[in-house]
Order: sequence, then C-alpha cells, then structure tokens
Amino acid sequence: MSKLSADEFVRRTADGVYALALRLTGNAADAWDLAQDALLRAVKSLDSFRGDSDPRTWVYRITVNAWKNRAASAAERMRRASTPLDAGEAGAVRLPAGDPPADVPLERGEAAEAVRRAVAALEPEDRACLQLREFDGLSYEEIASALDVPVGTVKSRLHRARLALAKALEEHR
Amino acid sequence: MSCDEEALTEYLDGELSPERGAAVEVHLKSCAACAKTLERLKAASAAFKKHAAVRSPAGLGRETRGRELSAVLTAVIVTVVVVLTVGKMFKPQISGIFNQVMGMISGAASTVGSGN
Repeated sequence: MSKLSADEFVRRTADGVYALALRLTGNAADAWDLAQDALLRAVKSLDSFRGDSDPRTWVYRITVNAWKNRAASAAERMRRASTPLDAGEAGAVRLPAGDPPADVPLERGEAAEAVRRAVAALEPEDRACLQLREFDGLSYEEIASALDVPVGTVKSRLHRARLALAKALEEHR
Repeated sequence: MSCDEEALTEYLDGELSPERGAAVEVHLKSCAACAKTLERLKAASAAFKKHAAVRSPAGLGRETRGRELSAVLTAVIVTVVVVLTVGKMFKPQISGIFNQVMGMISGAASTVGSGN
C-alpha cells in the first residue's frame, strides 16, 4: 500500500465519515474523535480492502462499529459508576450525546431550525440512515451493510424519521 | 394493493421492483391518504437535504494521516531504544554509541512533535 493511495482514500471518504459520525454522536467534538478513530482504523487495514465493494460502505461499517464500541464502553463505565464504590468515576463518564448537532447552519429561518431540532431528536441510527440515503445516495442494501442491520430495518428507520420530520415541518407552519 | 405506508418510502427511494412500483402507482390514484403520506415523505426528504447538511471541519484528513505517521515513527523509535538498551546491558563497550544515538533520537522526536 503506497502512502499516496492511503491519502487518496482519506481524501475521498473523510467528509462522509465525519457526517456519519456526527449523525451517530450528535455533537461535533465526539464526531471529530470518532471520525479520526474510524479513518485511522481504515487506513491501517486498507490492505485488507481491495475494491470488492464500495469503499464508503466499508469505512462506514468501521465507523459504526467504532461508535458501538464507544457506546458500550461508556455504558459499562456508567454502570460501574452507579455503584457506591465507583461513585468517583461518575465525573469521568462521557456518554454519546443527545445534544443538537453542532454543525454550522447553512440556512437560517424557522423551518431550518424546526428541521434541525427534529433531526436532533431522532435516534442516532435513524439519523445515520437519513444521512446515508439522502446525502450519500446509498441503496438500502448498502445502508444495511454499513449499519449491520436487515434491509427491513433500514426501510422502517427511514420511514419513521421522515414522518417525524414531516410532523415537525407541519407543526412549525 | 392495500395501504402499506412503508412501501411509500421504498417507492420514494426507488427501491421497489418495477411490478411493485406499478402497483403502488395504481394504488396512489385511488387512495388520497397514501397520496398525502407520499407528499409528506417527499417534503421531509427535501427539507432534510435543504436544511440539515453537514459541513466538514477543516483538516480532518490531514490530521488522520499525521496521526498514522506519528504512530509509525514512535514504533521505530521504541524499537531502536529497546535494541540499544539490551545491547548496552550485555556489551558495555557500546555505551558511548548508545548515548550518541539517544541524542539523535531525542532531536528527531522533538522535530516530529513540532511538525504535528
């Protein structure tokens, strides 16, 4: 693997990885960390990937797995922190956030704010499905592969997420 | 075809077979509720694309490659230190060379640190 090919790989996938990381984590700081982690893992194992599938699906799968590992670790720390002997760890716990995404708004206005609030209120995997479908144009099969869920789950998540956004749009009018 | 809301999402995304897609289109002509739901789904999709795009922060890719190269250089430095330390333990006469090389490594490490 040449340095150039790894650079090219990062150049092509970094934006998509960050966007997915932001949908999963809900905040820019965690998204940055997760994206760096995922891209580094992908670059280190780039030799094991050689064109048999869309590289985006491959690196998005790495991103989702890294996110799940972090969530599991945070949950475990929280569980341990909930016991009296581990109370001192509570301050060090950092859970995947439900805060609104800290992405820079491209458009102001009430509709934009209503949509962003509705997106922030979605479950992380629902946001991820929307991102991969609406901005990456991935098929249901590709999204299912990235998220490691059945195709039917992708369909249900997209449907639920869009209805939630539709409701938010209608309520703001 | 009876009402199948999730099929409308599949239809919107072009995920239905030609046969199922045709069946949905026939159904939409006679079902106002499903036609309304499809419009709501389209509006939500358009609004998401219009208002919720993610802007990537600058330097994301560059920092990843920088971290990778730092990790490689760190591994090389650690390997050299271990080899020379073991060598120094068993061959005291190379301690002079060991001190010279450690000086060179310290200089290289501070150069990498300032370059990140």
